[in-house]
Amino acid sequence: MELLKRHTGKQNYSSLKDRELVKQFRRKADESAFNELMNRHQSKIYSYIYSMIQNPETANDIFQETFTKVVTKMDDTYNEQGKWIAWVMRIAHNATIDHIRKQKRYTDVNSWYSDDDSKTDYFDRLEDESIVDADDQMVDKEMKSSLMSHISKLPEEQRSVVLLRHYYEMPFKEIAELTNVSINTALGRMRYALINLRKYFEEERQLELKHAKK
Amino acid sequence: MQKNDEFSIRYLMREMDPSEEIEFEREMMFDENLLIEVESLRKTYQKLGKLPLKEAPPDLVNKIASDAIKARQEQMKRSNRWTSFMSRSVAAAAAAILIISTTIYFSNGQAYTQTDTIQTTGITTESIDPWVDRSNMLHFAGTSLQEGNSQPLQLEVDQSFSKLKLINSETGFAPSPRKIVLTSSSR
Repeated sequence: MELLKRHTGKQNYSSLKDRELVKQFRRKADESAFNELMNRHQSKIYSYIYSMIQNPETANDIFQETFTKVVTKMDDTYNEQGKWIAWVMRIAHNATIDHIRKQKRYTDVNSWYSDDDSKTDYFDRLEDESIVDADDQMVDKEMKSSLMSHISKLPEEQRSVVLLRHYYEMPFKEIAELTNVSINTALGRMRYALINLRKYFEEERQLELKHAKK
Repeated sequence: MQKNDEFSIRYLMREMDPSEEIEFEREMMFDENLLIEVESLRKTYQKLGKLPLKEAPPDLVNKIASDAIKARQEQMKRSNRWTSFMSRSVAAAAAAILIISTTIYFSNGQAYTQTDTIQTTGITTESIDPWVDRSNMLHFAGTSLQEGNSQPLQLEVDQSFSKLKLINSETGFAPSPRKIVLTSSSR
């Protein structure tokens, strides 16, 4: 981060709009312009990916993949008239959803096997709970934060709407475009997400009351 | 999704027009269940405000930034190389076209000159066919009245004159008498 701050200090890049910074980066490979863009948006992009995936290592990979795509696709698919961050978010969202779907497919395919060998393979892949390393314990600890764990329980579509809205204050029109659904569907997903979260909070409260009585 | 469900979420997300907002608030005043539902969703939504903002690991951010700069510089180099290659190719193509067209131009010019010479010399040896146009004008194509070459031409002229006949009656050439053309008039 120090490196970033050092580079962005040269000119008054903080007063420039995203569009101008992108232009500087595109035309001159301006390091300071790119660092300023990263400083502005990295935490929101990372938070979105992290909250969707709930795994720091995978989130790091997707975050890196997102920016690799941002740089390589900039000349082909980014239109300077549009919002840069919305374009980056689309890439981040697609990369995240791709990852979630791949994981799902992996789980589904493995659960289809019925022969003995395959079963052995499947169970071999499962981790032994006794050898969970320190990093995983940390992850586990973070996951226990009730809000994050409730968010993680939401279906992928509802989770992405909640997080896009929360981290980007994205209008539903944009959320709908990003997720390839109608505005009504996006609004409906938000509503169901809130109803589900309300239910999870209520369950949590009941559990706490039960523990308190004991 | 029912109309009020959609409205309640749009109201909470502040995605309503001011007039719609007032209308919806009025509706909530008359419908207690709707009011309770909206308030309960609002409370849940407020809890989302506590969602943490996670910073990406600093070393990862720095790595991404340096990789991005390298990649961009590489792209620019490639595009510059391509541009210079293209401009060199265009220049070479233009030069080639210029050379070819100049060569064609000059070789054709020479050919024309040669043809002219052949034609000029050819006239003297070939027989000349005089011809008469619609206005009864006598023509000698490709005539050349140079000295020494004019003999066959003169012969042709003499022969053509011998074909002419004297006019015996002038009436044949008399202009046609004037005719009175009657026209109608509205008067």
